[in-house]
Amino acid sequence: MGKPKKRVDRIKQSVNLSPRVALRLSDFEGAKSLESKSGVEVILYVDMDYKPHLMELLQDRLIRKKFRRIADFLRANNMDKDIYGSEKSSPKSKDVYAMKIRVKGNYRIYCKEFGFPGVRRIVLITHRYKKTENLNKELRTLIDTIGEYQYDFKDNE
Amino acid sequence: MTSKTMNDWNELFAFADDKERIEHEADVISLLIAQEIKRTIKQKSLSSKDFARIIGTSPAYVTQVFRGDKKVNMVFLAKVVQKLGVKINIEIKSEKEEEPSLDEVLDYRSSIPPQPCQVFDFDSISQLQKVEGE
Repeated sequence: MGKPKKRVDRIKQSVNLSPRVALRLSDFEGAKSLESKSGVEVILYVDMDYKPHLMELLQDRLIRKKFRRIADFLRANNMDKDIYGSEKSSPKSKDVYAMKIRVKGNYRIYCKEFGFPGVRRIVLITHRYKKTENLNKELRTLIDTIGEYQYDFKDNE
Repeated sequence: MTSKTMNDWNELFAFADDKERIEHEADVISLLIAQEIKRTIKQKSLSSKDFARIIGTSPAYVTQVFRGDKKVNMVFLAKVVQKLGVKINIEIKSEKEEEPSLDEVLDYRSSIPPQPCQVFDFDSISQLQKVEGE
């Protein structure tokens, strides 16, 4: 008896291929000193499933203050790797970025970016408390999983 | 965590008062200045550590400024100017371009030197019109 044929249509159980829902963040009052010079519109979204989880983190005033500053810079298409940077650890996670919130510890809000001509969509997904600067196995798995997320973008809740 | 739970983005991101609004603006301005300093030290091929040593401050402080966790102060900025041999250009502009007043428009008009008159050859023009008419 020969070796059983390997199924080519096998899909990893952990990967859910149905698109997730991204809700557009309502515009909030930003700083007047920031203006987009690139002409690229940056729109922030939040993953609907993770919204309560993110809201929980943002209840803290100091964390919210830092988050607002980063979000404001992003909306002006002003990318600064000290506050927001790529988390790419493999080809799967090439579009995964993180907001770096070093307030009351070292938090990261993981995001996925979707680029369209003249528009950049950033979906805020989940957050983790980062103990070390290096990526451990758990974080690498999380980032790779996020890297495969696809979204239906909704402008209103 | 605060005792009151806010569930709505609008509620979460509304400034509590003008003080909070001004503080946010100050944080953003400081981070914009920090970005310019970072650009300068990159152009000079300096690391953050070298930069800290040159201006006589701790690397930790420089990191905090670059991350926006500490605001840039004037002494820090003066050290950047003195030690890196750079200049700072400051520009404060209105949010909207203001319409010029009538006096400004008239002053501008009178500042334009008179242009020499163009001489038309009416004979050639009438000949041309004739050709076009045919």
